[in-house]
Amino acid sequence: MDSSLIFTIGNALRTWLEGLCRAHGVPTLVVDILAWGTGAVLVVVLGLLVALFVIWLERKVAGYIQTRLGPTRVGPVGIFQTAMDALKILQKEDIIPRGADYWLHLAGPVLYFTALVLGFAVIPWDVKATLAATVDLNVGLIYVIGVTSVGVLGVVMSGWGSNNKWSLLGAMRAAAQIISYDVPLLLALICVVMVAGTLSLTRIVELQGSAGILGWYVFKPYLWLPFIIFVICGTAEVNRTPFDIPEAESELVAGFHTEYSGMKFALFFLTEFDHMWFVGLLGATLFLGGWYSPLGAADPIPGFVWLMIKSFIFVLVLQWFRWTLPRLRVDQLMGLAWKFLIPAGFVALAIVCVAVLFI
Amino acid sequence: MDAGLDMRTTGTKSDDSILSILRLIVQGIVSIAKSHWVTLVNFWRPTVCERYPHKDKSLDYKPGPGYKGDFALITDKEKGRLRCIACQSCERACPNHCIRVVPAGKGKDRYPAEFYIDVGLCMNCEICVEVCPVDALTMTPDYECSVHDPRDLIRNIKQLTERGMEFDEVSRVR
Repeated sequence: MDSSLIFTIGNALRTWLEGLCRAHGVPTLVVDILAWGTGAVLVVVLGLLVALFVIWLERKVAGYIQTRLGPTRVGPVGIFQTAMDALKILQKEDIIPRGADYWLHLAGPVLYFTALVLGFAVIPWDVKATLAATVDLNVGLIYVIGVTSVGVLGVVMSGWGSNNKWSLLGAMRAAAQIISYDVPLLLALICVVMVAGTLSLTRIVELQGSAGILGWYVFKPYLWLPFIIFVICGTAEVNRTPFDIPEAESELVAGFHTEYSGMKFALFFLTEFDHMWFVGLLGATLFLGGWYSPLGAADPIPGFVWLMIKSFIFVLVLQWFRWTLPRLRVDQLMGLAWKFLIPAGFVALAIVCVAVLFI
Repeated sequence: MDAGLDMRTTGTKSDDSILSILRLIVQGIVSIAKSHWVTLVNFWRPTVCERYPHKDKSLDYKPGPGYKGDFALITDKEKGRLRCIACQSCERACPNHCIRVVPAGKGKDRYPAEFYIDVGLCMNCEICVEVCPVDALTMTPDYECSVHDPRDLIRNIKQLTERGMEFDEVSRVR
């Protein structure tokens, strides 16, 4: 099915509702709010479904890398395993430890989840850009960095509110790590922005797609270094192995979510895997040409599907990292960010400066 | 060199010169690439898992002789009777007292009227098999012993004789 059909239906519905509003003297803002709300709910639900799928994928990939099978029992190839796990975790008792700060303990996972979901608002899903949920902000990239960085506040709140030394240590490590890795990540993103000349994610994708597959930024040699930095920092931002010291099982039990159970833990878990997919979406948008097909404009497959395929390539690569590399020590982690990636980011910036000036 | 740059995988002696730092970086990249190659190769290798009861029941999952599975009493096919002479050596030797033999008959005709083994209590030490003077008792490679009721774990002489029909000698590793 062509995605333009959905837009036609949506626009027709919108026109009809607006007519209805005018006829009854209701401000048409109501229709806008309704459209935004519908889109937001759609994106959140999609995000949660994808998170369940990514968790299943992770377990399968882990299995095959270790030459075992992974989940096989629930549904074909175990595809409903994580859905059943979610049902199980819903029934669990919600434990709040003695001496915990109730409101911070509650707000931690909520903020962690909300910060990530806000980031989905500006992802350009398809060629006609504004599906109701997607806002084409002209400062889209700054918005993404801004709202997703708020998530670390949720981590610190949950670590402090749990009244547990492991949680607190994990939260402080997470804060240090995410703030450190934001710097080289920003340097890598600045390179992209310099080449594109805009901060709008939709516009960045359009600029890449206009020149065919070779216009994608991943195929420009002067953007290879920023791309590598982006992948490394993306892994660190998601707190995944080899950068998972905030929850290092062997040292900190489970880090900042040691004291969580039931739905709050599920929220942390889903957000973590959703974040991985979000990094994939961002990478696909900035470097792999977003919704554009590698086959050219005549491709009948909707752009949304291509975006999903590209983002899942990123997800698979991150999972490959996780099941290959051991965890870094805390000082090694900081050393990698401040002594390697930030200088490398400045080198990349210099290269891109020259390239933008002379190419 | 301070701790932050200490990311080398080999025990190379390092100094602060730019060349040695670059060499360390290259070494690190190469070793990371190698490890990713290993996991990639393993990803495509066939899995080693046997999905035991579910995939293919025709596959022979039976372990070889010497496996300490369920018990059996061996029948002497020429004489047409159990080898067991109901001497109760096994019953006395069992550290867990999970064997009970009820003898019947006199002299050469002595035979077990009842022979109970509680395999739920058994710890598979195989002392009963070792002490048997006529090699009548054996452990077999049959391992599918799970039941819903613990009382079903007590083997009687009928079950033991039936299972023993396919054995002519004590099942053990030569």
